[in-house]
Amino acid sequence: MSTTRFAYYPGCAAEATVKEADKAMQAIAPLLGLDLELYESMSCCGAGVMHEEEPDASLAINARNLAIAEKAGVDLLTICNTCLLTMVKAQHELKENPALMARINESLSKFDLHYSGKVRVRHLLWVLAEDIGPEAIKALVKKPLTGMKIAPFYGCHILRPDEVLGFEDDRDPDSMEKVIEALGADPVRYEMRTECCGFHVMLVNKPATTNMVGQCLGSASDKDADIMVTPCTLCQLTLDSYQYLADKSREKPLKLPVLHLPQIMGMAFGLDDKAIGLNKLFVAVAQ
Amino acid sequence: MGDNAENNRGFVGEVAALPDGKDIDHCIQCGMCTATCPVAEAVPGFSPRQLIARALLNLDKELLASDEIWYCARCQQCVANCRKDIRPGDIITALRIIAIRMGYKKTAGAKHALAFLGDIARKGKLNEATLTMKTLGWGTVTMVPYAMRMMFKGKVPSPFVKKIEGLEQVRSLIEEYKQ
Repeated sequence: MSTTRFAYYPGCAAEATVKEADKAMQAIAPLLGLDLELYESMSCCGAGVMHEEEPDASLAINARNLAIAEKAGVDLLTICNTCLLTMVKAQHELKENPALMARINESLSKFDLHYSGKVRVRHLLWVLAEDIGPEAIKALVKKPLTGMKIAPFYGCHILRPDEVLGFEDDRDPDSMEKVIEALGADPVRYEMRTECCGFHVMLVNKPATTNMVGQCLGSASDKDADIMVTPCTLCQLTLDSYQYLADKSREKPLKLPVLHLPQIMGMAFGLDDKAIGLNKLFVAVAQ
Repeated sequence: MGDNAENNRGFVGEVAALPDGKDIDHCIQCGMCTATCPVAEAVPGFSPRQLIARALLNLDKELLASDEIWYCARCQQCVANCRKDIRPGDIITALRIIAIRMGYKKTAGAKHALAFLGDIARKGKLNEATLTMKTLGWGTVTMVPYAMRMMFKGKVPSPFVKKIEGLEQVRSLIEEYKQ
């Protein structure tokens, strides 16, 4: 397999609370022909939260990150849906506002940086769907997940707004199902697969998040899913770590392992459990 | 704030003057945003349609001081489903921007946004270990059982965040583009 270089942008969560996502990503990357380089100069994207206080400054620091990737001549690859949408939205806003983009570029020129708009912001899931493809994934599978029922949980910020993200139909996505099938498992179709986990109100409204987590997990559980898998580090953090709280409000107990996308791939590729951080899950995968 | 505000339209003019709130006047109050909002389903009484209605009626003081404007989970369902394509979620973002600018900073949501920018200006990255405390203050005690579980799994992040290379660039951009 040929190798593609990327500026790897794991996102703050994968560098702090859910490090196992980063570990699993680094473990599967060489197998997939992805040469990931971390740029120590890139800042946090602001996750849309910084935008709520300083919208233009948020745009400017995102332009800086994008310009760093452009200077290196590589596209960005992230494993966080919110980083994805924040950066794609920043690109969109800069395109819509050429005057502000010119002003920001003038500021960036002081740091010998320039943002032209040519850099592409990619998510692991998009790279799997567009560049690598199911056949190449299949060829890497050493332990097919045969008979396993896997519920894909997309997460909001990889789907909506689809006209900004420009990838797949937010109402009927299938990129996750294709990966799950390539790994030998059966994708579970359930009502909440494109719904919200509640991460972004986790601190300001804990009961709301707890309720949302219960709805999402319950919907997949009721369709007999063995495992849930998500391309978003924030969704995984929420659905796994809030599960014990959500469980209390349900008649049928919840016990659904929630894996990061790189973890489920690592499992099927025959990697060691610890190498992909399966020991870090609150709800463990049944062996 | 902007041209619209000068036209004596009051608060709704200020919302419409922001890029995020520019389409507020096209709202027909159909309620599709509330119907598709997962937070509205989880929190009785929360309604994006009603937040917009209150803005349209210039009920700014109660709105800007409320916790409710911070309950939106930014899931983009309303943005995807709005029949008038006015991006209701972005209008809520406009309300948040105005709340902070007007000094309504006592809500957990506002504190969270302030802490976020503070972290980025300090190190270029989030400090996830202190973000909860800065958001919830004494309310952090409600998160102690959760934090203990995270600790036993080895998932509590270090409070010592390494600063990014070229942090002064980020700081100078924040300074220059602050409004």
